Amino acid sequence: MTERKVAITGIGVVNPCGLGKPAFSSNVFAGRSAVKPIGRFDASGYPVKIAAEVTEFDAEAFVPKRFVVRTDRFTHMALAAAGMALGDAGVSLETEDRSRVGVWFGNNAGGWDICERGFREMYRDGATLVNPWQATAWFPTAPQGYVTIRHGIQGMSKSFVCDRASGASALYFAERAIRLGTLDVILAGGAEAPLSGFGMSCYAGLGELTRNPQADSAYRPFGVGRDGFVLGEGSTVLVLEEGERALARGARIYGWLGRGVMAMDPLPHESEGWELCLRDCMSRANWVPSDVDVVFGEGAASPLGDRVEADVLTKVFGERGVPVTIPKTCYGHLYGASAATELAVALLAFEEGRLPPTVGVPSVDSDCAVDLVTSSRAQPVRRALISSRAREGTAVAISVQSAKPD
Amino acid sequence: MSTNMRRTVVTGIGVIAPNGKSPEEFWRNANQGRSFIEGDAEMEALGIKSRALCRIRDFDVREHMDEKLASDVAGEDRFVQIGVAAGAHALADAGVLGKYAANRVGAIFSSAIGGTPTVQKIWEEATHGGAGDLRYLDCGPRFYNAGMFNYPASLLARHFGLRGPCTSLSTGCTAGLDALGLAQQLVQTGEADVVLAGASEAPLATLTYATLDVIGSLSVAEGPPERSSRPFDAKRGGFVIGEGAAVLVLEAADAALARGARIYGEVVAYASDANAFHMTDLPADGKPMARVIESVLRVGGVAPEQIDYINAHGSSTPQNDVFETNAYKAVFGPRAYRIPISSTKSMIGHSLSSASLMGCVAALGTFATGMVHPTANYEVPDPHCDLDYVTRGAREARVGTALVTASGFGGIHSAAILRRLEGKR
Repeated sequence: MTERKVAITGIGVVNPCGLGKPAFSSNVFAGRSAVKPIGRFDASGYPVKIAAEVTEFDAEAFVPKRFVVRTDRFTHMALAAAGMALGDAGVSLETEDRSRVGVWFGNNAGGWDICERGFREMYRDGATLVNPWQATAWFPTAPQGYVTIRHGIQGMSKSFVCDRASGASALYFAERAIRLGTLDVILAGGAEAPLSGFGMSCYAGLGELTRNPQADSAYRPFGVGRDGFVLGEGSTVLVLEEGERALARGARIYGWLGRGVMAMDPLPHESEGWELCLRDCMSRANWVPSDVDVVFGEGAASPLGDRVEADVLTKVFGERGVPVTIPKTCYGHLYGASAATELAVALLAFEEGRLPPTVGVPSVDSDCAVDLVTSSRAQPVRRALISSRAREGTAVAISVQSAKPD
Repeated sequence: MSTNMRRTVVTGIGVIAPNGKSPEEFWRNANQGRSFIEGDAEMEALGIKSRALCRIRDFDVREHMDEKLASDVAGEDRFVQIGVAAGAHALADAGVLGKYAANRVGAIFSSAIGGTPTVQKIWEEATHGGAGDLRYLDCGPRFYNAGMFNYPASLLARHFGLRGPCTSLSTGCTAGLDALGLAQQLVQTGEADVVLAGASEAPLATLTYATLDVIGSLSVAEGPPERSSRPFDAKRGGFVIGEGAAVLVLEAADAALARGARIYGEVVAYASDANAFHMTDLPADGKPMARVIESVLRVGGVAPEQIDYINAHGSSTPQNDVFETNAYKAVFGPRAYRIPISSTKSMIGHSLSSASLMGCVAALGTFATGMVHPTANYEVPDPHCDLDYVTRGAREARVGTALVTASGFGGIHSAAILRRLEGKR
């Protein structure tokens, strides 16, 4: 029996850089950053001044009102992205065996708007007057639940929490679920909406977000003067399909998702696991390092973290041995929607024949020997690695290959 | 299931529950049918309808881990503390450390609501007591660590040097079984040799009570508080919120046998589905649960006749217990009446993500003790729930194959099959 393969046939994005694939693609490849001073809440008392907000999203344009009132912003965005992805893939669930379809998402920290609302109701109005949607709107599995209900999806569905590798965890297990035969179609990706006053208290306390207020140059992965990344919000949903069935229905195949690898480096300066992830991920795809056209890095812009990442890349690819890009510099770190968003950018790079830029890095630090793509490069792009690492050390590598012949 | 999948066994158990901080204590109390549920003055003062909860009493981190780890978790939320404690116990129980390359040992954990009590406390600090205007509060990493469900697994990985896959699930009240299922998959396919499957829940905070009470989930059953979880009883009136953590060490069977490990049982199969019906309501016919039980039997190559015990979700809500009963009838037919079914929640309440791993611990207990624990607090038969719920005390039974089920918010249903290995304890 030949091994089942995983095709990616649909892309849905709700992102600070644009709603839907065309707007998102044009802004990301042009390097038009959506990082701006925080407008969602009064950030005057906060140490963090900038974020990447989704500003033009009207949930009711995408989602029936009855779903909108019951759910938090992160679910709104997931429902919108899921609808876009299904439409883009041309998958009609009415004619599917919906027990063979699943939803596999990442979300790191639940719904922040509903969290604040619940607390306010309880402390101002009383415990008996908390809204009835609180219990199902707040928890991180809410987007999964609502997407299954909205689309009548009945197959195995799971949601993952793993810091900055939340989205990568979902993709890792989603690919396995199709390859191992549990499911035939998966809506995979994630959603995150942490940009509230209380949410920012949570994230800013970690010290991982840049406190530089200059929106156009604060987030500097691998750069001189880096002091952290920018928090974003959004949702990316991809349609994953068992390969034979995607080919049989004549679907447009954006790319083939390879077997992921997950490992753990328990301490921040350690990187054995991360290196193993990149090496095994390539060998599982039958690639050698020179086959890889681009690496979408973690690029958390911490002084130590980027040096560790640069060292890992040097060990695997040689010094400046592979183009590395961090499109997150345009739309911020999306945690649960991370990895799926970078995977979407990789698929768009296959179509565009260009590498997307890393913006806002004044100069690459001499202690990071990476070939950072600081302006868009026109070149054939066929094979990409998506590399994620959580603050606590979980590392995940995912490979994707263009469906176009070499 | 393809034939080259590796068999997976449980070689370590760590449990921190209201009824026990070791598997032996848990099993002893469960077999005695003792309820650990209590009335709660704070719930009463809130003015909500429910008055009962289930707490882990006398938990001191220093009694459950070495000094270094205890100091690492000392300032963290309780779900982190009990999750780490259960993990440390499970690893010690299995004796796997040093037996495998570090990158072959992983951890898949889960939680439904993580560190809500800490998040609520920080809300109070950031709003001058709860109702004032919100201001920025610099609380360092303690806020984030309470909200990030993979923190217990990450701390265990750091302390014990576990370098294999490490992530967590957030799938609510099925999450413990889901962690078990994905952990089993990693061992079966050779992605790892040992994986800790864990769940940790310490949800006792007034926001939790208010949120669940307002939608009628929490028990309003009449009578003394210790009897307020009454699964399958006509007078049941919702679930009792509880806390608990459980961790099972899963290991490839051949390697576990070769090293002479104590084997509690085999994880035969896991399945899960989505009802696509409602975030909280359940269809009375039980079809989504019936479908997932049929799946888990198929995946495991187990005939329905082989199931001789069910540790039920048995949450004590009016809807769930009928839903489940009908699912068992649909799958097992007339034989459904002859399978002993018990609900651990009758004694320790519902610890959300952890509850289904508590069910696994109880099911493994049937192999170890030769007893099926009772469903406590059962008094009044419900004509819609007419199966054998083991309502009159523990029963001696030679259980060979057990089914564990779970249902949760988000419309998720999961099931696992555990089997005793003959000749092995």
